[in-house]
Amino acid sequence: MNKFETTRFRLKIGFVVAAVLLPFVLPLIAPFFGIYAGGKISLSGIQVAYAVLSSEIALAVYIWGVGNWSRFEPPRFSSASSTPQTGGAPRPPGPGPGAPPAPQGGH
Amino acid sequence: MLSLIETLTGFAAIMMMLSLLVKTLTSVIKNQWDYYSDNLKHEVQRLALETTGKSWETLVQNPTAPDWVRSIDWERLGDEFLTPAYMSWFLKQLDQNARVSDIDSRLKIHVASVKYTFEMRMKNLALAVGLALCLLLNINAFTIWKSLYTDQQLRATFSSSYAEKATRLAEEQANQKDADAKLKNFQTSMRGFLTDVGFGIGRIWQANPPSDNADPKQRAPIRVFVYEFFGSLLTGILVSIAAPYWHDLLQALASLRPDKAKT
Repeated sequence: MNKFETTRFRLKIGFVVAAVLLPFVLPLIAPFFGIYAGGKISLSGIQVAYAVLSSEIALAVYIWGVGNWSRFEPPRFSSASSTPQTGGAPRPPGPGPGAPPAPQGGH
Repeated sequence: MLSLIETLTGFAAIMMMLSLLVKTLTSVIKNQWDYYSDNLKHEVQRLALETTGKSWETLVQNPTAPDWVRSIDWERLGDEFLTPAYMSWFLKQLDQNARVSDIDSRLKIHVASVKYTFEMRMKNLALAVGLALCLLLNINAFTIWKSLYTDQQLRATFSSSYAEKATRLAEEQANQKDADAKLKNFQTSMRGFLTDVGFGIGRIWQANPPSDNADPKQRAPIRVFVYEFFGSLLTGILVSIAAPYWHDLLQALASLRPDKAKT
């Protein structure tokens, strides 16, 4: 795992921990921003937790399935060179070590 | 037994209408943002790597590569760009030593990959839209089912006239070619539908969210939260399933109803 991948992995872990903590932490700090039952924005702690959790789930599905996080990665080949074929069925193409980053299309 | 069939029919009609709403929203989002060209770009870059043995960055930075390669507008290209003749020329422009053997077979695989990833993204987008709609508006399938099962008048309305209306709308959506007319027609029908299907929507956002327990002393907020959250989550998944599935189910259920069976 290179430095870039380690940083990325740590960032992902950080996001997951923050996402788990947010529905618990946000309802506790919401009253300080005037968000409480009968307040400027009348929402109870349960409603805040529900809104946060709902948004997180929808966003996670979008990022995981449509965004960049989940990627359709075809199996990697050990060598980048592909020998020209003279007969038989064509070899399925696969990226080598310098393959471009795979785009979205999670499943 | 009849009440169960009627409840199922009404439920399927409501789910189908919501499913159509998700489909339309997905279509609007798809038209606004580009979910296609990066998959195409990736496949072309993979093909370039396989045939030249060099990464895209290396090929682009090569001084012999034509200038236009550095400024390809991928968003304006489709998979019609991936033809054997054009790609052979393109790869030779990138690198004179490119091995363009079996280009036809290779391209078929790359085009299939572009289409597959795009379809997967659209399915996931529909799921995200369905979940966002049902969770944030708190559309709960359990409450809808319970309301239909316990209220005879509601059940009769949704299992007869609404089921027919929903089926007609789904067929119109599938057959109508003109996108603007389709959207206008859908808006009119959906507005009426959402006004009528007020039950079971947004209960969590009420000042005192009602639980399914009649005794106010036993209304635990956490219980309401769990019931509404998992109900809405399930509804989100159900409405993300393609509308044709609900359409088929609705037609099968309608044929089971005694008045339809006689005819």
